[in-house]
This record gives sequence, structure tokens and C-alpha cells, in this order.
Amino acid sequence: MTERDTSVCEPCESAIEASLDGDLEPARFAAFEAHLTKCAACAEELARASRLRDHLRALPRLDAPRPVVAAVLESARSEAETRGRRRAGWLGPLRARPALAVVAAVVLLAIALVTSLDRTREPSGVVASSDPEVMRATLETKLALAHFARANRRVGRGLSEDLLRERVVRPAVRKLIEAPAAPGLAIEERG
Amino acid sequence: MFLGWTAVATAEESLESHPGYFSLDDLEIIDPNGSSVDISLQGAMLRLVGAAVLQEEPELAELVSQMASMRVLVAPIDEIDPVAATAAIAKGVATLEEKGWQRVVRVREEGEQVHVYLKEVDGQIEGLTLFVFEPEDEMTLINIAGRIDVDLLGALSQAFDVPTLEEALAETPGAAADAEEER
Repeated sequence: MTERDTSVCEPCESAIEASLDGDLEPARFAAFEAHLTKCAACAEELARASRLRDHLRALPRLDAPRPVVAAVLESARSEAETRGRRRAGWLGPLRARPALAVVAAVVLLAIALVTSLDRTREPSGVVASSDPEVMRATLETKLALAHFARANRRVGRGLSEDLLRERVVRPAVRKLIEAPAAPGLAIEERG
Repeated sequence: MFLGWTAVATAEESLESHPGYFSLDDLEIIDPNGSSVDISLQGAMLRLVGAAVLQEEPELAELVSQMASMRVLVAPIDEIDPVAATAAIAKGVATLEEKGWQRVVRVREEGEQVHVYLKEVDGQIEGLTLFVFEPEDEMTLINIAGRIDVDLLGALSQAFDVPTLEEALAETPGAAADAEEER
């Protein structure tokens, strides 16, 4: 864990996010670029935010149950607020706590694994075999899997925010802080 | 006759020694004869299923051909004593943990209980056991022994619908005779 004194100029906070999203007007973009040549803190912050975005984009895209996503985002939001680091947009809290962003991704991965993803396929009732016993066993196999899916949905529903925080977020945060940082991604605690 | 019995006994013994096998019957909470669902499929039959669906559903074939057994017991909640269910789940959880199963999920909320355990051997998932007790609905116990691709299992299982399959099963040849026999 490293302690840093990076004071990003206040007007640049929103400009960093907007420039990454390509939302900055040409005149403001030019001014922002000129500012970056003089301000190391803002340049570093932009580079960090850009790296973070790339890392997040490189993660496998997995779907998690809606309540789980909501719980993680809410958790991220309140943590950022507690630390008095309110920033505009979705990147704000994540930029303030890169570790939290990774944790959110880890949580989504973990929960997606636990709930075994939500990739739906077209139901199939086709049973190729004409042997009645095998045909029946095939349907029983599918019925067993259907019950598994039903039970899994309950797992997703039952995962409360408390459980997420206690069982997934906190252990993941601990692991991230204790483990060496991912290549190119500094795990920092500020403030 | 004797040879047949020996073969069955050997298959059962070999299944019991599988690290991912967990006997749901040992919990003595859902009576297989009274439960609404009792599915028990093992090695040879699962391989036949795998072969049967290989052309039409290769991913399902891949999934089941790696399984040693699959057992599902489901009972409506009015057939279950909640106190006994809690005790049975506690017993199951203790046994699994004693045998080195890894807890993946535990939810205990307003009477609802969900426990998911995985058995890992050399970094490979060899078993999955799931207990779900829903006070307003039903109790579900699942054990899958064998190499499990959790991703594939989750993805494929989403495609199957309980009522549709129950209906299809009721229409299979011999289903009526089986139901009569059970009565």
C-alpha cells in the first residue's frame, strides 16, 4: 500500500472522465491537453484512469444477478461517500479507489461463478435416442438441470448486500491489498 | 441374479468412494418415495444420455459425460418438518466440511437457507452439493459427482424449464405404467 499526494486540480476531475469518454468539446479538450503538459498530477490521474478503464474492459464480460450488481454499486457508492470523495459520474468513485473497482470486478466474477452465469440458451426438448429408457433418462437429466437452475436463482436472490460485503467484498479487498498489485495497476489507499 | 446384484453393489461402492459424491439419503429429510422429484442418474446411464444428445446438444453431452452421478430430491415444504430440515442441513454441512468440501455460498435469512459446496481435487471441481430450504415453497437437495464445468452447467441449466420437462416426462413411453406401479 502506498501513500501518495496527488492533488488533481478540481476542474480537471470532470475533464478527465469526459476526455476518456470522448465527451470533451474541442476547445475544452485543447485547454485540457495544454494543462496536462504542465500538471503532472492531472496527467498521472488521466493515465491511471485510462489504465483502469483498459483493465476493466479486458475483464471477461459476465452477467451477475441484478440485485447483486445493485448491491455492489451501492456499496461502492457509499464507500466513496464515506471517504468524502464525491466525484461526478461512474468513474469518480472507481478512480478514487482503484482497488474498489477491481473488487467490484472480482465480486461480479465470483458471484457469476457462484450463480453459474445467466447465459440463456434456447430450450431444447430434442431427444435423439429412440430407446425409451435413454429418452426418459435424457429428460430426467434436463429436469435435474432445470431444478439446479431454479435453486441457483434462489442463491442469487438470497445474496444480500451484507453477505456480499462480509463474504465477498471484504475478503477480496484484503486479498488485493495483501497481494502484489496487478501489472500496471497500482492498488492504493488515499486519504 | 447374483451376478447382477454384485455389479450393482460394486457400482454403488465405487460411486461412494468418488470424492464428489454425497449421499442425500443420509440426511433422512426427504423421503424419496414421497418427494415430488427424485432423480438419480449414474455413470453408465449418463454416458448413454451423452451419446444420445451428442449430435443435437454437444455441450450437454460434454457436461453429462463427465458426471459420475447426479441426484436431485425436491419436496414441497408441507411435507417437511422445518426443525428436522434445519437439523438435517446442519448435519449435511458438518459432513461436507469434515470431508474437505469448500463452502461457496451460505445464506440464512428469514427462515430461508441456501448452502452450496464444491469439492475440489487438484484444482478441478469434482463435486457440487446444494441444499435449499425455502419456508414458503420447497426443499431442494442436489449432488452432482464428477468433473463439473461450472460455467457450462450454469449456462446449460438456464435453458431448461421444470414444468415443460415434467410434462414431457409424463408423456414418455412407460411413464403411465411406472406411475401405476408406484401407486
